[in-house]
Amino acid sequence: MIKNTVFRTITIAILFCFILWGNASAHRVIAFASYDGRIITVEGYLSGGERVRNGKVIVKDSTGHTVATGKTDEKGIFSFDPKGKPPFSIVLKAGPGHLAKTVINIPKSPPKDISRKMVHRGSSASPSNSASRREPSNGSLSSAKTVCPNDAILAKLESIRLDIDELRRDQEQVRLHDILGGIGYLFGIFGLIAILKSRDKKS
Amino acid sequence: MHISEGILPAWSLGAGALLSMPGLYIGFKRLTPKKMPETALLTSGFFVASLIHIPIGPTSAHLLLNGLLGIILGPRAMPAIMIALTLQAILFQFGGITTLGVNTFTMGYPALLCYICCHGIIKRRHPLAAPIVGGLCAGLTVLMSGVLTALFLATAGEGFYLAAKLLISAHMPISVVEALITGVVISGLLKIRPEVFEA
Repeated sequence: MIKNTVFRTITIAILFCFILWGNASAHRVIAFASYDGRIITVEGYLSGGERVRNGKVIVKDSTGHTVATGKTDEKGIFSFDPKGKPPFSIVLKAGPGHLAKTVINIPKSPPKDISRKMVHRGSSASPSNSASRREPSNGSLSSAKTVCPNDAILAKLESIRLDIDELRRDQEQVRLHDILGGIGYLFGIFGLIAILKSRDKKS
Repeated sequence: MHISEGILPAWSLGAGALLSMPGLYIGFKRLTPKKMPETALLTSGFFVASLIHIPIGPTSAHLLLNGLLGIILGPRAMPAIMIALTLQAILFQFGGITTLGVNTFTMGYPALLCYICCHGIIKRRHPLAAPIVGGLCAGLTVLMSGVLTALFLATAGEGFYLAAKLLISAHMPISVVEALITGVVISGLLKIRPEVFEA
């Protein structure tokens, strides 16, 4: 009877922990870096999806020189101009003892030129491009012609990048089945120790 | 409180692992098959407690419950903490495998000290003194873990006082919560199963 009460109390305590666990969970720092053609953006998260605010960021290029330092903003974001030799190694410090590292490589040729080439090709060879179709056939607006499809592509890329970030964040979250699995492992490990110890005693 | 991988120098990691060995040895020696279910249950509590966090500054602090573990399990708290930390490192990447020794040291020895400090008083089973002393000791255990973590971070070039200040201020609310939880648990266990404190 008493034993049952103890087990019930501890089970309730563990369930209480699960209830509290709810919205966010612990404690691993994750850093993502992305390049939009001009700047590199670093985003810091804790494994519960919470953003790392005021986290210290140190960026070094492949030669080991520090190319940028700073702190993440309220959204957990830090951006810098990639001056130096890629790839860039980024360290995000989120308080004492908590650190995340990531590396980002960027293309050597400026993506501006690539996108311009793409746009020129797109405007001449692919009339189905929606952004090009919207342009009036006016010679004076030729510069606008080269900008709008570029913006459309960049916007599309940005939305894909955000989707990838969202998926990554989702993947990094601590899941209930992992916790339950962990508890199962714990009981298994202690069960194994118990078997080994009782064998020792018998022998 | 978990120190991540890639922060501490190799000698510091080695020292942490070596210093944890005596505590682990004594703990494993005391781990009898009869005490196994109780140890497994409390280890699960410690394992889950680290997932409950309070956002503070750029990071967050989480419950530890190492004081409670120390009070109930005594020397067995060291292997219990080590096993829970191993699973946390493997399953959630909290801390890390290389920092396992250091993290066991920073969370395990304060638990052991907590047991040494308040075991005598709790054993007397006083309905008021035992929960109060146990709760206070558990609260202080969290802060002591913070100081030990700061000590190890100092070996990586981070200023000890700054790290200790940050860790202690971040864990102050946690220590209050843990003191309350531990007090309530001790009070409850004294009523329903006082022999649990005969670790």
